[in-house]
Amino acid sequence: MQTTVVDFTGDRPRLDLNKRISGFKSSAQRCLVNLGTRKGTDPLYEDRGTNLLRDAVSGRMINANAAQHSANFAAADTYFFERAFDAPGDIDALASVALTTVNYDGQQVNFQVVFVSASGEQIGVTPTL
Amino acid sequence: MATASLTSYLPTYAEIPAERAAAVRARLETIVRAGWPDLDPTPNTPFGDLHLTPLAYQIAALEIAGERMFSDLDLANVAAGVVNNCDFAKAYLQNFAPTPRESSQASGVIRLAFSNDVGRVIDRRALFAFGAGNIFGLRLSGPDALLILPVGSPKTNLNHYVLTQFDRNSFIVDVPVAGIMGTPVTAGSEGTTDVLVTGLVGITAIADFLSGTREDTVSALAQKTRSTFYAASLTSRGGAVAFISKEFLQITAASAVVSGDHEMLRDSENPLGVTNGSLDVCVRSSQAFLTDTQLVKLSYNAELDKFIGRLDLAEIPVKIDGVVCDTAPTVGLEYTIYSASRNPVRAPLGTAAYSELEQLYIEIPMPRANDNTRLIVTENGDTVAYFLVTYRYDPATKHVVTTLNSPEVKPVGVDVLAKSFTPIIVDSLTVEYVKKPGVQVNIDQARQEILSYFLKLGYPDIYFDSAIGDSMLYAGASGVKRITVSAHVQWSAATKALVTEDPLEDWASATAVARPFPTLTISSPGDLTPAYVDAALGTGSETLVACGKRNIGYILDSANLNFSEFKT
Repeated sequence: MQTTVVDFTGDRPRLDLNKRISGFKSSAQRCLVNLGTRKGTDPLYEDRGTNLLRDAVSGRMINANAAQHSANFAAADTYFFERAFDAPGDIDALASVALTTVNYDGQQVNFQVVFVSASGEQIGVTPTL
Repeated sequence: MATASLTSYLPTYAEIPAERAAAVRARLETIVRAGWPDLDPTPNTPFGDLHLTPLAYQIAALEIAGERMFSDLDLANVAAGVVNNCDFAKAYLQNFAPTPRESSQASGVIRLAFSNDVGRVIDRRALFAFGAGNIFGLRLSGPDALLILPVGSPKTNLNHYVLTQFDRNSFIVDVPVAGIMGTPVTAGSEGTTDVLVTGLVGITAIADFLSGTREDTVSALAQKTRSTFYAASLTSRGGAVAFISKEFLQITAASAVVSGDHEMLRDSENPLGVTNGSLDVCVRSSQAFLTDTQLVKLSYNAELDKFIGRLDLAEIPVKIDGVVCDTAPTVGLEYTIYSASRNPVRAPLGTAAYSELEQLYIEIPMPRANDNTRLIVTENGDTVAYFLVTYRYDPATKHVVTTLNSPEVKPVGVDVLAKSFTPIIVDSLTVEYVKKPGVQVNIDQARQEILSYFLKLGYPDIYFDSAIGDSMLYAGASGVKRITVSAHVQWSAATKALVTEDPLEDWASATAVARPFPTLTISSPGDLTPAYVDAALGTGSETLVACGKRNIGYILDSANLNFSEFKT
């Protein structure tokens, strides 16, 4: 299925209406959006989003370990939420989500995100909080 | 015309439940996946979050608006008080005519007083005003003018109203009116008219006028529609009650007695053995009972040493409270009231009681002192005397009679007779209650509630002891130990039934064969809903009286209601 591209490279996400993505790339984009969505802000889907951003701004990521714990929970939440929308047998279905802390200095934390599809395709980005 | 915009039913965003929007979104997603399989409608996508989710809320809002409009069309919901658009609901209910247009007008009964006893014709277009903004027209059964006839005249037309003497200088007739009421018209209000009527000396409202359909009765209107929709006609029990409820907003109790009920003794069989349909409609209004005192002229029969005459009262009496001589009000009188039927074919003997077909007569022996001197001075050459008769009546009864006699509503093949409920006069009701120490029991509150309860009772509401118990509990008592009652059924405002036609021609003979109404006393609260049929039915002393749950009402005066604390 196709979806409009969300460009995350700028200071804030923007819709790029001239571009479309489909397949596992759209799944990965959805997962990225889910990772950055605060849990509980969507009244229609209680399980949508993660607590990653909340943990980051509320001081819960006191060290790299704590950041990794938050990342793990965020990855799990995203995985289970997205899997609910994948059709059975879809080769572009999400197989795993991995969120790894790669840099933590107390002021900023970088995560490496890797999405793997059922067919083995891998897509990874490094978001910054 | 019942029109409404759907936008008036739309909910706000906050009123849309999230579960509802989620369900709509799921349905929309199914449609998108089926119609546009390449388009990703899931959450976390631009299309899903920025179009589909907001669209789901909008569609949910439209669905809720539609449901609200359908709810206003479902009279069960409206009757339960769930109304989303009052204006639309009211306009929609008018399609079922729960109240005819003229009944939604204010209505009442006015008393026209005249200085002399002569016939008059009043244009039916005459208007009567009771202050600014209160204009009423005559509410007549027939198409012609209002014909006022002298005292004692026979009625041969629906619009005939016969004068009755009210006091020495005035003659009255009570006439129903309907119209526009801007400010309340209360009992005793004086009015004016736009027609010149010679001898008209007074126009008075005999009871508070009713304002017609109230603004806050959309749910009550829906309840009435659901209960009256099936057949508001006078050809069946339910239809008759529905008709009365629709036509007369002031009626608080209406019950129909039909052929086959043990309370019905008017029906008969024709020579072919087919029962002639009869239907008695017992009614009571919210204004029951008013009290009036009227001057009655009686002839003195020197041979019998009695005052005798017709008791022509302005309204249909429910109870005669007292009779005194106009010129000697302190002299105690022993009087006997007799009942006769104006139409023995339609309503013989006791079946005419409390209806327009009952003609009352009164006989008062000349009161004499121990030395046999008269205590009352006669007039007009020892031929007449005037007496003040105090009686109670329900102003709605005659109003109902007028309407039911109208050719537009009179059913074919069914003889309908409107009357008041046969009253059970409660001579004494004592409530023995128990209270906790230190607790005050509000006897006045309990008294008002119990009196109101008895006044409003009418089939299908029948008497229950628990109602008195509830009143006492609310007043602060902890329970009711015992209720004792002494009551009797008053079959008629009279005590005897005359069987002779024109009894005044030979009063002695007529009264000699008069039949006393049977005595039915009640000494237990459990018997306050008696079922009785004239025990002398079919014999030469029958009076054709019957009572049952369908035709009995109650009269309980405050002085006869007693409370007694039971000391534990």
